[in-house]
Amino acid sequence: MVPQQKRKHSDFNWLNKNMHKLQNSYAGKVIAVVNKTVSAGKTALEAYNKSKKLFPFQEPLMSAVPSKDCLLL
Amino acid sequence: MIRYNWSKEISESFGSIMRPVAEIHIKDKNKIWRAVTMYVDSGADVSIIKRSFGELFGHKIKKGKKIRLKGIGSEIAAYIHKMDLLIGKHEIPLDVAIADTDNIPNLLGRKTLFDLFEIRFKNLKKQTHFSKTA
Repeated sequence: MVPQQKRKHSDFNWLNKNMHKLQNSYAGKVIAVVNKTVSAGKTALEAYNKSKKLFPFQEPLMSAVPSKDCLLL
Repeated sequence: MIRYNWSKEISESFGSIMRPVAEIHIKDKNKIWRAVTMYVDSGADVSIIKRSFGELFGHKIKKGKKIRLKGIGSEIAAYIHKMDLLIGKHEIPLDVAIADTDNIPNLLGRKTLFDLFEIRFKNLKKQTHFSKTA
């Protein structure tokens, strides 16, 4: 069992429901999420460090907010 | 079986759009499990992460085997690294390409992963289901 897995999974589900709203403020940014609190940066390290300042004992869920361009997967 | 809900996103061209994402843990160079979101992409040959994610996980990016990745449009350089991933309760070793740029999405591609899991895109439920093969 990975530490804080329940919390990270809850943040994952929250993120999926709210990504379209986050695109208005954070499109193109990397984000780190802890308890629905978003820390954003240009790079993963920047977002991670901001999150760690707010939540030193929590491991964030790392994600990237897509731009509103079409994405070909 | 592991179920991941799709992500509700906005496309300027098409409005609201649902995309298949997964919550994955990747073990970093300090043996810490990092949680990341990745799109599930049955069209991608290999899994790939942004450069800055590779750096956060402690990889010296250019030490990996260099490959060139082509999609629709321009070509990018990436470097293959061996990583341990945790999908649900299943720990799997996987070759992951670290892009030389952050201008790509994190993707779970077919190599190895699609042999280890039966992956179903449940488009009506807006979920992706992962079932470990025997």
